[in-house]
Amino acid sequence: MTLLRVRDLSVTFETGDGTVNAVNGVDLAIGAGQSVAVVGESGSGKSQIMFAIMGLLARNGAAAGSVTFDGTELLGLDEGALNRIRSSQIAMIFQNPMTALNPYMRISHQMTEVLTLHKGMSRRAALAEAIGLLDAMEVPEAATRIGMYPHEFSGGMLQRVLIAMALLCRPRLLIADEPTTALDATVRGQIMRLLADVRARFGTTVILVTHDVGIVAGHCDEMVVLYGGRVMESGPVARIFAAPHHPYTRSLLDAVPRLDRDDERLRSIPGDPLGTNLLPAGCPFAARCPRVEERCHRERPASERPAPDRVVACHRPLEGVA
Amino acid sequence: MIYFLLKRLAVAVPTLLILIVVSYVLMYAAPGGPFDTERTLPPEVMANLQHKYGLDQPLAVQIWRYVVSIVTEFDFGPSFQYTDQSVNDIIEQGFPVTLTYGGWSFLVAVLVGVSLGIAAAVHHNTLLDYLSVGVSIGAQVLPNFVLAPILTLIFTLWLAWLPGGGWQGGHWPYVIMPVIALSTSFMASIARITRSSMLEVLNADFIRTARAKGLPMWRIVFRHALKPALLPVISYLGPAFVGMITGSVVIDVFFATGGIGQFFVNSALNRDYPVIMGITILAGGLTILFNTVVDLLYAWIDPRIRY
Ligand SMILES: Nc1ncnc2c1ncn2[C@@H]1O[C@H](COP(=O)(O)OP(=O)(O)OP(=O)(O)O)[C@@H](O)[C@H]1O
Ligand code: SF4
Ligand SMILES: [Mg+2]
Repeated sequence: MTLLRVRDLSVTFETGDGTVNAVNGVDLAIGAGQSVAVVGESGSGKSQIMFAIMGLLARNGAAAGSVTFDGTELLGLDEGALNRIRSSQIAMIFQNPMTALNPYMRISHQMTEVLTLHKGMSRRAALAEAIGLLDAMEVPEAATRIGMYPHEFSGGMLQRVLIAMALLCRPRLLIADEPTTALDATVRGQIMRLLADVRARFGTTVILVTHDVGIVAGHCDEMVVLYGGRVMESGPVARIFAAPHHPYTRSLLDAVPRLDRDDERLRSIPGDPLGTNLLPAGCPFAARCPRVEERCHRERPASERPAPDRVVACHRPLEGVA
Repeated sequence: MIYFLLKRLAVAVPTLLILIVVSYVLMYAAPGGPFDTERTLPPEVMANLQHKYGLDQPLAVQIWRYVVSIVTEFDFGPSFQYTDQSVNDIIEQGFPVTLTYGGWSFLVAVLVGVSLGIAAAVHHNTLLDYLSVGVSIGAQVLPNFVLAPILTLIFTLWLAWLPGGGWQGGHWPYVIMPVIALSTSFMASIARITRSSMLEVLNADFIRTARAKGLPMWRIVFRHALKPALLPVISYLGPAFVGMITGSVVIDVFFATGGIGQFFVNSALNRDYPVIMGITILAGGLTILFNTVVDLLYAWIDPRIRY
């Protein structure tokens, strides 16, 4: 069953320097219980897709296309109806735990308000529930620490608090927007393990947004590769890792440091990520693509299905696919 | 926090002392004296008066005596001008008036200003926003000495709704115009500050988190955004307080409310040294007290500030 379906989603921002095209016709289909990675470099539009899904775009932003959650169209839904879905059905963990919590409010209040609002719980019951979840997220001394303010926590602890907070209403879909990017390497592994726990325990569908392909394998079933606000390739993680069709996916995978390859230096993709102000007529990756040909600059490659479970948008895909 | 208050007190005492010395010296240095009337007094009478009030003593002795009588007896001396009244009497008489309309003005400026600012920020770029920005710009360029006559013109002369002056023990019709005249420009500044800080706070990451929780807008604004949005307003309250003290002089003179400002002007014109000093110390002390309250408010809002 498809829990979340995104069709031809575009996100634009009106700025002083004109219109910014952050997301340009993205399609996603996320099945219930799946774990899907959305991968792309900084600025590729990952966060804005997630914000558009939850109706959280900045004031100057606008979304077009369609987002259906469990059959309900979310784009253009009125604020009241959206508020009933937010956090109770779809919850989100944000990129920077250090700024995502209100520094002027105690953690207890920030957590309990979710439950008193959506579940009509008493403050007392909500507090007990919140402490229970903090415990489950391995926040030590949860019962005392819940009375503290965010500045009294470390980044890793804050991310645990945010995950606990997102799970309060047992949402069906959890969007984790780069949950480990702002954290140091040791904490990173712990948070990823927690997210895997959450899936196992609550059966939550998870979208994991990341620019780090390295954490995708072993954590996600499906992956979607974004570039310049467009989907370059999508499909099962194992199959894409084994044989990427898109040159961009290929260079992303090559850039991952691998133990078996024994080279110390990190290979990075040559060239700069695309500016989003100008929509190129052809393939967004053309300026950096090793396989580029003349028509790549002219014609935008359509999304093809080389196999039933795979999508690729490229004029000259790898592995002999036509 | 007790430590913080003690520290503040420890700073306040020398601050007030310096205030006393500097004002005393400045006042003394200003041309003219308390008994220079149109018809010059005979030298013996003058000498007598000077001696009676201790003005024949060296300046340092005068200041020393003044401070000692304040500290030991809380006595701010006699008035030169109102011969049967002490400075304490005058302050007791005028201060409640000033405090009454000053307090109301402060309350009105903060409550109306903050509400207007929030409304404008929440309805950013709508008619309401433009309207409130327009009103606050208009109100800000209207100083109280311009606003006061305009108000009198409208409400006293044309509409005959409100008395043009007097106090009558603080009966409400007498309070309205002084409050409007004194509070309007501060209200406008507070509205402007609130609007821009609220707009900034509403863009913060943690507000996005609050929205992702499904909280309704009013709850986001009042529970999540208001406290941080008020911080710049609170820092403005100190200067606003001082501005209001200055403004009250204009109000007292224009509306003949009998507040402390009126006594201040008269005593300044007549070189009534003790009254000038008494009111200066009162204003200085209040300012110090108020700034302490502001700092406590800051700490109350921001958990990262602890004393
Ligand atoms: N309010 C805004 N106004 C104008 N442009 C914006 C706004 N918000 C985002 N953008 C632009 O949208 C583009 C996509 O941003 P997005 O936040 O989705 O990137 P991302 O893929 O999440 O990257 P990162 O890994 O850095 O988080 C960026 O180029 C960004 O500059
Ligand atoms: S369409 Fe052309 S430029 Fe784009 S990825 Fe494929 S080969 Fe490279
Ligand atoms: Mg992002």
